[in-house]
Amino acid sequence: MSPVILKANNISKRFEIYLVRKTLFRLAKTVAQRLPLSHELWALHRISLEVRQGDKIAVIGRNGSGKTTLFRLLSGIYAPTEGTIEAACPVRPLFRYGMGMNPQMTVLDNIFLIGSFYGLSVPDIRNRMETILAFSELDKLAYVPVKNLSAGQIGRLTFSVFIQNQEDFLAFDESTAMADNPFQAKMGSYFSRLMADETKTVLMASHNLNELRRYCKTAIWLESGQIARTGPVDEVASAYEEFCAAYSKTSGREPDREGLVPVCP
Amino acid sequence: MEVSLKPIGTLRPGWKSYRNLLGVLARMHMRSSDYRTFLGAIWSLLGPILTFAVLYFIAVDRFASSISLFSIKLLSGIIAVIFFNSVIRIVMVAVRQSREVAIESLVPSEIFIAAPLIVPLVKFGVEMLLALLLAAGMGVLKIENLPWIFLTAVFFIVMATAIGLVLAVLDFFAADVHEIWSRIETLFLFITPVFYSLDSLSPWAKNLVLWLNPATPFVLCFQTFVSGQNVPGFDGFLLIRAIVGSLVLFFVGYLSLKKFEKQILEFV
Repeated sequence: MSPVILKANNISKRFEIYLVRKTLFRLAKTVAQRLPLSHELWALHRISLEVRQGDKIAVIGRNGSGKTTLFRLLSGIYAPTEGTIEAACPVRPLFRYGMGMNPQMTVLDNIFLIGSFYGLSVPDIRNRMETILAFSELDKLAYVPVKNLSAGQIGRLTFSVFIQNQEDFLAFDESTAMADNPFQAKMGSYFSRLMADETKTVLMASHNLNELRRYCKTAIWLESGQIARTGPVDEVASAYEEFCAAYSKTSGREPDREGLVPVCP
Repeated sequence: MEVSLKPIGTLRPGWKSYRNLLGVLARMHMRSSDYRTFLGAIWSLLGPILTFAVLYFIAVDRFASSISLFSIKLLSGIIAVIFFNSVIRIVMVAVRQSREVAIESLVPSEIFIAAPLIVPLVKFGVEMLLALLLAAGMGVLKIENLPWIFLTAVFFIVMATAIGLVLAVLDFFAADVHEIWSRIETLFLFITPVFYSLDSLSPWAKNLVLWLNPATPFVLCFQTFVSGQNVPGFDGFLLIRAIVGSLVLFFVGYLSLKKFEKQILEFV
């Protein structure tokens, strides 16, 4: 059995929500009256999980269920409010496309920029430039400012740079949503290779359950910041689909969650 | 097979690993500024030169007779105030924008704050060179003052960055701080002894300008070191006061950023 490389122990995450961006006068008044500036929101509640080397885990859940927060906690961007996270290696996450890009600069310049954000050195990026441009299919637009690219092209660019890093633990947060069909196929072959590699550990959040079924072996279903279910990806995805169908039938009201008792380990 | 697990916070890459990113970011900021071409660099000098020309022609009759080497002191004062305002503005924007990237990567916010400062730094260097050339042309430049100009510039950046950090943190809690500051910064040319000397002010106004305006000690130092003659209000203690003040304020600004960074980062 492969070793455990990440262990989250009863982690919870609380956010401070500032409802109104106050003016300086209102801020002074609020402070003088000793009123609270913020409210609390518990985004995740008592999550425990273990990830073993080579695991390919799907993270399923509705918008706002805590998937992105979980990824940010596991990659060390957020610190948990309660609980501990231990890992053997850093987790490299891919969240929003276009992170850190300079829209005034060309595609080429932005490849250096994004590459540096993902830990690649300038010589590394230079060596992989052709591969990146070819994969993203932006070789003819290399000297075009990024502000002139479409959202899909920006997504392709970011993804093509991100996959150049050689980290062993990757996390993809809804990373395939922007791709058109031909690029989906390219991503598919990348993910197939990645998922077949036993040395790579992958967490993958997506609303595309077929994609998750194809790439991942196990799944975690998050609901309202708690683990609703874990297990083989087919079982968890089917249960989630049933839940979503019931949710739709009740016109957006919470369906009866009997049988969805959180199964935190 | 067992592997040793460490708390996730300890797996953050060290500062050295961000040197590459800092360099790339600084280069990108330079390339997206006026300084990407020679003509652009010349163009960027137009701002201080035009301000200098306007203030010179307005103030020359009133102040030039009482201020020796008026043009050099005016130019070095304008350069310093423009630099001061631009550093504060850039730091405020950088702190605000750094959140976007900081919630999606492990890159420390200091990298995003430091990188864009390269542009005002280079501009300040070029403009100060212009003032030094003017001083050399007039035969008043003292080579032994160059290290003092450098020292003053270093702590001037520290002071402006510190004020930018404090304002950026305040801006997070009260959205109009940015607006209020944009109104105040236009006053700095007038509330700093750029085109007048401190001894032309009433005692209370002099004290206000000297003690409440953080840019004043630095402007007086620059004017003194560039022109080679002491301006009213300058003494050795003034530079020490400016250095100590900048360090204290930087400490306050940096600590307040660190204290509220979590809230800024995790703001929903």
